[in-house]
Amino acid sequence: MLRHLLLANFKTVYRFNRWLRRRFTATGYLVLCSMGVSLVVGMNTSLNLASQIFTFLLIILLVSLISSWFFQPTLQAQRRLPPYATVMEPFGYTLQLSNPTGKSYRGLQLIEELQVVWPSHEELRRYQDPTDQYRNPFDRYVGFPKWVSLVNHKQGADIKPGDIPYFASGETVDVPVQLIPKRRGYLQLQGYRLVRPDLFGLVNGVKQFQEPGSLLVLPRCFPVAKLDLPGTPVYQPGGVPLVGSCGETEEFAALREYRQGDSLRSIHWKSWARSGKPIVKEYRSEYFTRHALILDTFAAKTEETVFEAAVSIAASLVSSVDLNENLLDLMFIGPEVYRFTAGRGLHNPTQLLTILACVQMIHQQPFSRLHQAVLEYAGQFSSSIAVLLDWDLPRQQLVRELRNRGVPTLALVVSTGTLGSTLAEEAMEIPTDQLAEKLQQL
Amino acid sequence: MKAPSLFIATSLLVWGWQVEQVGLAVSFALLLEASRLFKWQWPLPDKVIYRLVDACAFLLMVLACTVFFQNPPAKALFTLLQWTPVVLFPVVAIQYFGNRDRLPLAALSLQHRRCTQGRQSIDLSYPYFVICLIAASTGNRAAIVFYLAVASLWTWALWQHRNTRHNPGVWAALILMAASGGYLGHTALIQLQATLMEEMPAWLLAWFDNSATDPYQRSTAMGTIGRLKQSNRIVLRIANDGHERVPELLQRASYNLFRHNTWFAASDAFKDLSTTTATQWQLTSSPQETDHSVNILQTTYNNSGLLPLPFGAQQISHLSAKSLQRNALGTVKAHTDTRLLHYRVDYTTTDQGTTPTAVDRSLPAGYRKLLAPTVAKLRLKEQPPHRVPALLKNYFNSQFSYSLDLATGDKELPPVIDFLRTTRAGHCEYFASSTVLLLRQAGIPARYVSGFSVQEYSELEQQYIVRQRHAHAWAIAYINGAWRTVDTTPMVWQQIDARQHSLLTPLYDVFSWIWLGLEEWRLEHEQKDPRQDLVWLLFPLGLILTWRMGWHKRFLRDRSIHIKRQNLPITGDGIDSACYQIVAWYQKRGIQRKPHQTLKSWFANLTRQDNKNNELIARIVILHYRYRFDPVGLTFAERQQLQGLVQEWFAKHQ
Repeated sequence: MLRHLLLANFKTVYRFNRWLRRRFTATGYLVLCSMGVSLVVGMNTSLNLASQIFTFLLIILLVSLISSWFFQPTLQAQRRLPPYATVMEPFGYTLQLSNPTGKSYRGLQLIEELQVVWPSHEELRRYQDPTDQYRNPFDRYVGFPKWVSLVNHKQGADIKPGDIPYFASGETVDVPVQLIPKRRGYLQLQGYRLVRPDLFGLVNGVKQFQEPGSLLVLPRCFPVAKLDLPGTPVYQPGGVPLVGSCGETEEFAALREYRQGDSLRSIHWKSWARSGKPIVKEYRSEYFTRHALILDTFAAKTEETVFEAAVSIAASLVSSVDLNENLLDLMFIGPEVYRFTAGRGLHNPTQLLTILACVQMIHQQPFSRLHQAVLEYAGQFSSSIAVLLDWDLPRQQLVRELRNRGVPTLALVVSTGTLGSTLAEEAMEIPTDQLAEKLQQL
Repeated sequence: MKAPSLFIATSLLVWGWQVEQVGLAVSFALLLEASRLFKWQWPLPDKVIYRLVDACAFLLMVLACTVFFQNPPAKALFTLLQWTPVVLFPVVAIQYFGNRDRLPLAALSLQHRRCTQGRQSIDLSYPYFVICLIAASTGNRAAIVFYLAVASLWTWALWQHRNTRHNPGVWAALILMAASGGYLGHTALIQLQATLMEEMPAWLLAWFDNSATDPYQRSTAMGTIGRLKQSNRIVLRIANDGHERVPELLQRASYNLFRHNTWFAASDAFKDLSTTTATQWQLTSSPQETDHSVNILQTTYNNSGLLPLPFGAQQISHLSAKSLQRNALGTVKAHTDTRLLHYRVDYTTTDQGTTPTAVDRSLPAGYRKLLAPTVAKLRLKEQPPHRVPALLKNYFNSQFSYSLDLATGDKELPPVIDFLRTTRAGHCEYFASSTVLLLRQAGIPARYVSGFSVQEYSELEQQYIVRQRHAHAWAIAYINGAWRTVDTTPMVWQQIDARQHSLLTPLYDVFSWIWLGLEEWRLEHEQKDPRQDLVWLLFPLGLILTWRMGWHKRFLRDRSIHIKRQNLPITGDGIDSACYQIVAWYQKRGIQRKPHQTLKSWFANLTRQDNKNNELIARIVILHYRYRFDPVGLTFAERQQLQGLVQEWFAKHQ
């Protein structure tokens, strides 16, 4: 009850805290805290002189606040954002600022603003904050620090402010901004703030500009040892549309009479003219080496770190498989069954990585959905790699079934290092803290 | 934010001047500034800093306990603040004399100590400056000079961190203006406080209804609507001697004049009671023979209050009070130094009391006509006076019901008449007021009494307890030359009232009991030298400090070592490591390790060209380091492994 009441007020507290952080400099904080302490101590003016400290600081702070309101720059900006970034890999971009006014500015700071997405109660319940264990029982019970951590996580990046020492009138400058993405998926940039401290250096004058932008953060990739995926080319009924012409291409097989539903493009006009009835060209279907990359998204009991590690493994594998000669099917379950094919010029690995950047855990649905979806296409696969979040019976059954159907399967089970000997010979355990080492040993 | 030279020293001097500790302040200031003159710096590992900070925190706690035991809270707070710069001085000193400009934040926060990632640091010079200034303000000396000192020090601090794009002249003018404004603001603040102090009592009196403890008047809830709700707070504790029964009712105040639903005490002013000894008080000028006594423990909130006494109280003893006053109606008011009043009351069952006056027979205008039918119906005037109370009790018990729901029937009638004629249901105020008015109509002098009913025995405390909701009202009548209690409220009121018992009441009772125990302990020891009790306080604090200083970890570690090593011979912290054989081998050949080189880097230099040996020596060094420095050490098998690796190394080199 109390907790729910507190949760309802988290946004207000967060906003107030953010306002304080934006508005006050470090010196400003010191003055503010000193003012608070002197107010408490000097409440009764007849007992001590702390009220003198309070009134002096109050006036100083008021002067600072009023002078900070006069900071109202009119600037124009254009952000040059790259399309992709990778989790935990710092990168820089520039924001081009123009000063069309007749006024020069000194000591400006540019701070990029990420969109704040408020987490739901359910998200907060599921969120596992790694630093929560170090907090005191009160903070853990109330949950505000965890809530703030989740908000920051959802924002998705740490952005270092860009400094503009001097900005002359009519000038255009490129302000470098450093960004470290903290999670995969889309980063939504809302706008930017121009900040300048007042003359006492206590309160920041802040001017907010709206400049929406977004970039996609790809999952973290690790180098993978050269993968020798077993399996021979497999008959692909109907071929694979749009594949490039290298390797085995679609070839003419025979002529036959037109059947309802045949494409008009297949009609052999010369034969029709000769025979007097519609004749179509028949092609032979192709044989390709086609690998499946099955990503387990069923995270009923799984920690988020394990799922993120699984996505990283999948991304690392996508980057390492040779897609010039082979096809790679990425399969996973989201709101529906997803199957994306890349290779042989059809799609490139980056496109699969963009898909992986947006994969989400699912909590409610049974694993059997993935089981059915995979087995439906199992006949087309030369081999498969299953990146699993657990090694329970349904997952074991999926791997065994694939192997029974003649699809060599490499099962990788991501864990926090607690599975131990339960895997036997059938699967390989990859602890979340040893991704790089284990992927080198594949 | 690093403080400039002499800044903290000046702040310390201001503090010293204000709190009259100039000698201490000068020595601290010199010590801190001396740190800038010397080139050497004290290399302090994090753990030493943590322990120093813990020790200072411990000292601060001891100081807080000491001053709060020896002084009233407000004075204690200021005394504590005054000495805070002294207690926290070592923390700032380690920053000045240490080999780093800032202290790790983990020194001040346990959360940061537990979290090993992202170590943050903090410069304590400015926070210490603020502490010095606040501490100095408690000295309360030379207000104008102190303001100048405050303004100058802050100006100095702000100058260091000003925005340099502005003209210094403008900056100085603004700060001068702010300083002047601040002083004017402070003067205005003092005036505002004076005004508030003057006006506040009147506002508070208007805001809060203080009639519950007012000996002169008592407003009733009669005529209002809603539901009466009272708290479960324990206000009295009653203990009897041996098997003696406790009085059922305790009278707090009595009133004799009824106007507009309010009972007033129309009597002479309160008069001081005579005392035979410092703790014994005579309630009447001609005391009667007493045959009962009761011990009462009362909690007050402003060191004064009305004493709830049994009917016929003659004498109060064991009560330490500054003064005791009583009015003609028997209401007793006490002024004490403590919140807890513990006293014994001797009483008699029949109270001669004061003789009734005309006010005790008076009725409000118009009531005589309204009450006449009821009196006539009950034939009260025709009955002998001693039978009237029983008749009234029977009448109210048989034809009226007790209810906490406040409702009105005929709005035209006064609430008491409405109660008698229409609603016939109400709480004790209705019954008591009606009884008094009917008795007076029947020609019997009567008064309205408010107090408490004693009805709940606490198994936890082994005595009777009286809660706020046990507040009750009844009548007293002057019959046959003595005042008698006439309580006509149906007895069912106690059960109905008990329904207000909350589920949390037992929990509250336990806390209340613990609080009482602590308060009694405090009062008992207040007279003694508080330093005697501090010895007991130091013991748990010392234990906490020991725990914080890391002995718990050492103890646990030592136990684990003991368990792991119990099967191994005692060797002396890895001095016998086989790795030293390799060191000796090299030394024999004239290859010496330089003092600054670690064993690992020395071996790495020696075997740089030899990859196979490099791996072998790396494994040896890891095991050797664990043997030498890991508190858990090596198991027997690992020591064997280390020996084996060294032998393998020798096999390759010989």
